[in-house]
Amino acid sequence: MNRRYVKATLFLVLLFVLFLPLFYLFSFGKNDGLQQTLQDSGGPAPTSWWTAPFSYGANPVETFLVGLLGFVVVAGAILGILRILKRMGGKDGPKRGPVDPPRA
Amino acid sequence: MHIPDGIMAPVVLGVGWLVALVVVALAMRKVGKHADDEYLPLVALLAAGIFVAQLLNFPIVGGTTGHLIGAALATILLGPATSVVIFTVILIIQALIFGDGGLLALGLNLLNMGIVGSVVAWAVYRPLAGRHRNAAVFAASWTSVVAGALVCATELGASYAASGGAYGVPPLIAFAAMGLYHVLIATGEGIITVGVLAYLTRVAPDVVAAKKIRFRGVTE
Repeated sequence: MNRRYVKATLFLVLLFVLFLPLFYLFSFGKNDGLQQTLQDSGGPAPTSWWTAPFSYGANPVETFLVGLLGFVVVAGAILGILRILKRMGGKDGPKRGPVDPPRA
Repeated sequence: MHIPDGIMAPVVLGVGWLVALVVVALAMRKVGKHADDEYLPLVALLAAGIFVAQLLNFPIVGGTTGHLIGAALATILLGPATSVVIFTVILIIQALIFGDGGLLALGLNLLNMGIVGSVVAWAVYRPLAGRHRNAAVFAASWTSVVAGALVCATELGASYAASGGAYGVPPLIAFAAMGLYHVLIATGEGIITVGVLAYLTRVAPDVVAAKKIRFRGVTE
């Protein structure tokens, strides 16, 4: 991988580490806009039929580890999917259409 | 703005899936035709960065919080089709692995954050970008979040109407509350997006110059 992307990755992780304490200080456990709307209006309670293997954690260390895991999984999944799409889309793949006849 | 399972009427969930599948399929087709190997790491890094940014809620008002959605950021850098693909991957991983957003509601989440967010951001940014770039970025970010929230409010109201009140929220309350909170969240989104793009323009101007990004036909 290009060194530039490695540096950018480290920079993003550093930002995550810096902002994580602020998140726990000011926002952890508080509703987001949709949750608050549902609470204000007495809307239906969310249900869940799927138990996810991970949550976002209950303390900064857990959240940091889960964030790193998500970072790697998302980056890997995107790289894999884009490579598959590219192969299917055939930008650099074999050209379609009539093939020149072999020269005698 | 991740919709959990159990709050939307089944018919609304079905419409969300239908729209999302069609648009995601079109976006994937377009990205597959134009993606260039050189920029695949950039796309992966941006997607991973958006995932992490969505973990970090910021306070808005009255004990309520919001987080960066990132559709405008992804759209401005890579175009709406690539942004939709990025959001498809992020939202699937969030729902499946981290339980953030419902699996049945995944179609609606894709529609609200990925599709509406990206298309609106692009529609606002593209005509304004030539005049004042930072204002265009802020307007695109702000509008993309508010539009996504209002579509979500429509879904809540439609669910309420379709189910006789078993699901969703009365339409007026849905629009007022979602609108109010997300106008503030959108302001945060706008400030963060302008900041990130200004920083990228300084340290990696080639990345920000959309015409240089090899997703021809997607960004141009």
